[in-house]
Amino acid sequence: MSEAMISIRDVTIRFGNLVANDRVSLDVEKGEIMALLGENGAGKSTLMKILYGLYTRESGEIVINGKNMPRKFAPLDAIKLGVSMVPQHFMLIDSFTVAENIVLGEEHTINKVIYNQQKAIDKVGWCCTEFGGIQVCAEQKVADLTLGAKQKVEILKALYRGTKVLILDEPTTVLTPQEVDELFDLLRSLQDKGITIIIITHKLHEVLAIANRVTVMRLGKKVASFETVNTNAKELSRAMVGKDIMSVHVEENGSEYQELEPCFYLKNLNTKPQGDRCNLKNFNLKLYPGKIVGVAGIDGNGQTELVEVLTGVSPLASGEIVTGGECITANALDNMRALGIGVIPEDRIEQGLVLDLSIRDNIIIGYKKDKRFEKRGILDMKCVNQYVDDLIKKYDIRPARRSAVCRFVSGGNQQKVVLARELERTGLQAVVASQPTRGLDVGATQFTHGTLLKLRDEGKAVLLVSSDLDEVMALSDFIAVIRNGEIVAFKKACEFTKDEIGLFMGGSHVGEVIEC
Amino acid sequence: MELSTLVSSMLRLGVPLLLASLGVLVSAKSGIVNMGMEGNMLWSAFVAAYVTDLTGSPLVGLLAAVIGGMLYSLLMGFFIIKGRGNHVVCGLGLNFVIIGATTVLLSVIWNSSGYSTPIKRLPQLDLPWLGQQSMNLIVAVIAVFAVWFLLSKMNVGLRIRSVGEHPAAADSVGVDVVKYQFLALAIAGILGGLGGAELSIGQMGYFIKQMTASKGFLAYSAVIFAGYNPFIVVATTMFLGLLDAFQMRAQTMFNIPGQFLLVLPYLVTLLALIGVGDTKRPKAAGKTYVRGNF
Amino acid sequence: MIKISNNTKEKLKWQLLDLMYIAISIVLALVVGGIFMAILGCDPIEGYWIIFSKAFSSFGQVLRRSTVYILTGLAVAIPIKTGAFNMGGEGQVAAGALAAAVIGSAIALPMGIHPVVCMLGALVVGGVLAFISAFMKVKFGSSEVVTGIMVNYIVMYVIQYLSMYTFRGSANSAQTAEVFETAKIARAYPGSQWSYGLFISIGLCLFFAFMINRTRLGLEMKSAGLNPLASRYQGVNTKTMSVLAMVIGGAMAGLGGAVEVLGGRYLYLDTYFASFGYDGIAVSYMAANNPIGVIITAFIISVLKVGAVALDRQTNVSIHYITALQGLIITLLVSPYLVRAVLERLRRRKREAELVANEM
Repeated sequence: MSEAMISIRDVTIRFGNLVANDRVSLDVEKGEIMALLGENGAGKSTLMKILYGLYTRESGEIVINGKNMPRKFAPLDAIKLGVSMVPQHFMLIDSFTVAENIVLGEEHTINKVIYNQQKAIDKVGWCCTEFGGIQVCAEQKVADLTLGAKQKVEILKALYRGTKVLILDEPTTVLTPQEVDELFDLLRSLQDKGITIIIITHKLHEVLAIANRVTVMRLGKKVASFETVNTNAKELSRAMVGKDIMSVHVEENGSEYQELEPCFYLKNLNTKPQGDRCNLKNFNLKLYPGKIVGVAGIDGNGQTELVEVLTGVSPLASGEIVTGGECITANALDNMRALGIGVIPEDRIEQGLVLDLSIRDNIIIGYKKDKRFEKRGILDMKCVNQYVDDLIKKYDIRPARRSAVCRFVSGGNQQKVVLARELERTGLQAVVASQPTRGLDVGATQFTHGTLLKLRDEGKAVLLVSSDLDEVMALSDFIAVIRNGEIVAFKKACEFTKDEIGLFMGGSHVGEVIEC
Repeated sequence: MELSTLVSSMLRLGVPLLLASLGVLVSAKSGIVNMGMEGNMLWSAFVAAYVTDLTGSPLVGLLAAVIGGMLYSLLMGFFIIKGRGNHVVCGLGLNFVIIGATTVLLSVIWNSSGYSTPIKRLPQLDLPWLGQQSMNLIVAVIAVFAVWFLLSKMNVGLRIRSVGEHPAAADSVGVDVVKYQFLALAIAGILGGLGGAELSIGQMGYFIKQMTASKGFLAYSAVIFAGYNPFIVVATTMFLGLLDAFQMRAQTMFNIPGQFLLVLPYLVTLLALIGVGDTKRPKAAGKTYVRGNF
Repeated sequence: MIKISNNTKEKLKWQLLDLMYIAISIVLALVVGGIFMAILGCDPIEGYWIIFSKAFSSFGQVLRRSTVYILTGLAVAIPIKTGAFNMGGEGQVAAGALAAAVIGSAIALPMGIHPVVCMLGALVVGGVLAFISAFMKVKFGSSEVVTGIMVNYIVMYVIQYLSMYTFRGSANSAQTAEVFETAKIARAYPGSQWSYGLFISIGLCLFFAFMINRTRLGLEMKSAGLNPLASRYQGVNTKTMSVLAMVIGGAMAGLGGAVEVLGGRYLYLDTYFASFGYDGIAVSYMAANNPIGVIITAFIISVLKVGAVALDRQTNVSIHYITALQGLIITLLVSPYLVRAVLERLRRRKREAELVANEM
């Protein structure tokens, strides 16, 4: 009979009026791999952050390895009891070395007062061999590492501290399919060494692949618990969402891309490298009216540059955009707008909206020099208000007040504001959607997917840039794989297998040991 | 212009600036933009003068100035860290508080609107070739090495730097962000205190109205030029000291009107800021870190 | 019964909260200032009474000062909208004042045109000085606070030289000659301290309030200050916005100097204009950087400054007390979490008490 390593009883936490965790109870047994499954916003990440001490619960009990935790405790307390978390957005200091990142907070294991770099490197090396399966170069600066390698550093941080419980928050979003397999092998080997593992995820098939048990959360509550051997994808998805998820239906259209007339031809695009961002190198891609072209790739291979070029924010060093008989080399923003390209940016909070402005201001700012709203620089408030009200109604934006400040609007509705602004432009020909459903719950995700499909049916060209391979495969007519700033593969979606895409995404670096 | 007298002046004028700059540097490494160094120095200059006047002992005055500077810096930290205030405005605000308060106190205590009464100075050193220098010259040299050692060789320094680069990452491994920012500010307060005390009881022998004359801001620029490196800061602050020394002599030597020479340190700083981006700045400098819950 | 829409109610609630924080900060600063007064041996109630009674007996002076403070407040408020900090107000005011004084005393122009030309000169000079800091900020990433202060010192020394030598108009002090009658802005009424310049200042506030809220340019400025990245994605040239706002700010500060010269002092006197620029920072922050609010806070600061003259004369607390008070106010104003933290704790305690009560 294995005792519970972690015991969570009736834990509740509120953020303002939102009950993020509602009397959630869950037990994790020693040495098992438990998956915490739920859609975005279900509260799974919040629950684990409470367990780790980053958030303070309002009520309920938490017992870690037999010890009752006080209501308020810090990550330091959780770490002391052997709980570690590998966060979704890595908490690594780019300008420090791998060794420094791992040893930070535990410097006394190297030396009492003075920090000794060599000793740290040696100890990290020892830790690697002890756990096997992880190879990192302790001297390297974290800034120079790939995302997969950074994740390994995060895991090593936990192992270094003698972790007994390892929590991973959405660990596979930034990995290629091959890297996911590598990770799962590593987790199994850690399990063999007696480490308890909790994975937070919204991906059903991963749960079935790696976990022993799965706890499903929905809207802040725990709704079900299963042994993975006893359940299947359908049962899990129903528990997750409360109803069968409608799978997105993509027409099996027979035309080959060679037969179609592109409306935009991105020809030999090159951009200047900016900092450590990947720039476009001889980038070629065609967009077709009434078709969705999905761009798959690991984050950081030029997707951001591509979107910025099409937005008009990043200037082209060379290359041209061919459309309707014209060759455009200067991609100033006004030009891109005039071409009818609407952009849904990746990060709606940082790039899409000015949070402290109202819904109305956020919409109208996108309509520069639009004679409907502006006469000699002065805004015609009546026209503006009417237009915004119409959009609020059309996209069902809540709260339905144009003066509502976007900071206090929910994520899904924030996305709707962005959609309303971008998709209602006159003369819209193409839409670039970058990570359009990141962080959205199923309802908002379906709305967004539905919107993209509707655009496609209306004859617009859609460029979908997403690191969620499932999304790309579900929606796209054609799939292009981007790597190192150029397109390395392009095929009809139905002719691509997931593994094939993964290989192209990762290039020849699959399973490679990072050499010092 | 004899070289030795020039260097001698350079050291005298540069030492307070060096101490203040080291204070700004340590603050910056922990993520705090220390625009309040001006107030730090002026307050310490005042405390040093006042306590020395009361007790007759400049060393006691120095100690009081250091403690006073540290308290000032912690107060600034209170507004910035606990109050989540804008770093620049809090620093500037407290500068004004000190400028106003010390000027009022000057008139109340010494019944003057410009100078205090003469005050006993700190022990001076008679050095070969360098002439008479305040003992703080030695303190400054020690401070440079101490700051370098603290930041690059000690565990505490690693933690301070981590807080300035990525406070969320530091917090997630149990490094108390608030504690280390206050620690950095305390150190900055001590260094600024030494610098301010040097002005009043190390060199002048008086407390003069607004005697820091924006040395706090020159210190900030000196740190930026130096790329936040304690050894290069020595070079940049000494260079400014040299400019000051040159300017004082040039007034009598060449027949240039005073104003055009007084302008020099500021003009040079301004010109030097062209083409010097703040690239070496710690990533999270100027931002307020808040953990999770609200 | 007046029907207030939900929209407006929501807006008012937020604005009321903002006003509350400002009021708390000011009151807190006055209390701390009072303690300081007491330490110096001056009864705080008496001290504040002296300040306020002097201010209201010299109301014309208060209005005259407000005229300048409104403009130096705008000089900070407008650049802040784009996220830029105009620290160069000191130099801009002095330069604008000198420019107005020189144009007013050295050139002869007809009645209606002369003051306008003087003010234009001041606008240009102030704007150019602000441009230096703005340009360095967008081109090189230099902190406009530091460059602003450097420019201040440079300008102060240069102007000191100019008023001592080049444009000297008096044998005894560093000042220019008095401006011609044609250049003067008329006083409100014969013998009054304040001039029609006040209406110019207030008019500009209204103008900028309109510009910020009702024009594309204003929207782009606000946007650039709140989220430069998202703004760029919408075609806002954030660099141009901050430079433009800084130049406008500098021009306003310069105008502030000019209005005092043309409507009050009628000449430039060295060091007379010291502190007007820095005071503008307090004026702006106390008004939450709102152009209309600046009118009120300029008035408040004027009251304090004018009243402090009496405080200086009648007690041992000199006028610099107000500088310290202002500094404390702006520090408190930008650290709202001190008050918020207390409120949060009270709210949580209330909720926990509710939970306990429910369980009983």
